[in-house]
Amino acid sequence: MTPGESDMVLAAEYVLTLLSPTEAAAFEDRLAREPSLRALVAAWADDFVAMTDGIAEARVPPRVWQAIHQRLWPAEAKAPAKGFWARLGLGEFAAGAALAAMFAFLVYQSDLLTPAFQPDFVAEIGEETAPVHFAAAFDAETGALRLKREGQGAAEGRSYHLWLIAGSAAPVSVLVWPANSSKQDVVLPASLAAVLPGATLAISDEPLGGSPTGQPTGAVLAAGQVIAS
Amino acid sequence: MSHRAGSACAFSVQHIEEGGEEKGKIAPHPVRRVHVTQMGPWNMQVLPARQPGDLSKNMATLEDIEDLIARTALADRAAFQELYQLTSAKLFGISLRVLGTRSEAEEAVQDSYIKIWRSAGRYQAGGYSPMTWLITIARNTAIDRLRARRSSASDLSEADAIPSSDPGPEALAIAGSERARLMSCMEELDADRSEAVKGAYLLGLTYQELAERYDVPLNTMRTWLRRSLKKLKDCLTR
Repeated sequence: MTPGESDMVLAAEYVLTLLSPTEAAAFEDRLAREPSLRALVAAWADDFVAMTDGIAEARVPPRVWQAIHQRLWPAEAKAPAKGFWARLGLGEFAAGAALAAMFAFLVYQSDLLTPAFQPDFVAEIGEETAPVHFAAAFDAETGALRLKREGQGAAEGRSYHLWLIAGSAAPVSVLVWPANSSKQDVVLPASLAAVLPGATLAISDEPLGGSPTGQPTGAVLAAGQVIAS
Repeated sequence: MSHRAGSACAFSVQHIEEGGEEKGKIAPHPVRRVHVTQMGPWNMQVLPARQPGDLSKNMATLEDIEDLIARTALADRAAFQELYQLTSAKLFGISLRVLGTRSEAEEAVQDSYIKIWRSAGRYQAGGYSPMTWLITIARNTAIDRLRARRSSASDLSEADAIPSSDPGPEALAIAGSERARLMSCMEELDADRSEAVKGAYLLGLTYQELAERYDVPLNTMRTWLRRSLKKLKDCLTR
């Protein structure tokens, strides 16, 4: 073989990973200096890649992207809330604060609700046996949402924060759970009442007084979907 | 069982690009159009619900992919994510084909995209067409993993440790002229020699393993395959 032919074959062996580590390292030293050798490698890579043309695509499970994200940006992935929202298939919630502001609404105390409260939707927020567990009932006609804390209260110096997540929208703050309270009633504005059925209610662990950012910052302690009763 | 080459070559693509100072001199590679099917909504669920802006509805061109790699090199996460959405099904299919199990293929795809994110800045210098670059990373990553598995499974018989290189049914279908060109040139080789080339590329078989498989001395195997590669190139450039 001529020197040119021997480089051409060497380039093929490199692309096929047939070279020993020592040979490959020596070859890579040359590659760094010799553009013509790089062109040979690129041409072989393009030739051989045709062997993969007939290989069918395969659906990648969502957890693969999550794992990549976590490996590349671990600091962000560490916020426990994020993994939770991702598991729910709700995407990231960077734009959430603005949305939350848009949906700002009044919270009424329980005594404002009439005895005519007729829930047609319910939600179990957290497992019934879990330490953090709430029950919710919702009257779609009036927009009244009744919440009951059935598990333990928030830790010393921390607050429970309730969020509503509708479809792929960012979480919307519903209320910061008052310490020592076991029952809360809120009346949702029409825009939120309309999307509550089928949405998710979730409780996150936040600093005393609730999330400082308008979005969940701590661990999600419990969540449940609002379903027809 | 040979353990050679694995990790050194897994990064071959990155290493190639490190010599970027003369990249301007590399002749542009002939553009090979591939069609990359967009990922379905299952992926959109976990990713920010972002529409792939300038991409056409069902097809991405090589120029689109190249642009996404260039933006990934600038640490543009949205571009990287779009690149993932457009190409991960293909790379996963290849990893699955090489490794045979979903769990290992998933890990290989993870590793591949980590490498893609970290080495996108060196893509330009290699002179690869964009899908070739991505697929080469995925192939090398999967082969590396396969070789590590083979070398740790030395208690298995050779037949168990080295999967058959029979082309699957999908490999028999001719898809695209590039593939047709390669395959027709492979057919000009003796059957066992073209099988050896496929075994090296798709199964990561080493010279040692090929020599054992074809029951010839190692040096004979080298000579054999090198001649075949030369013949193959002669045909491909004809």
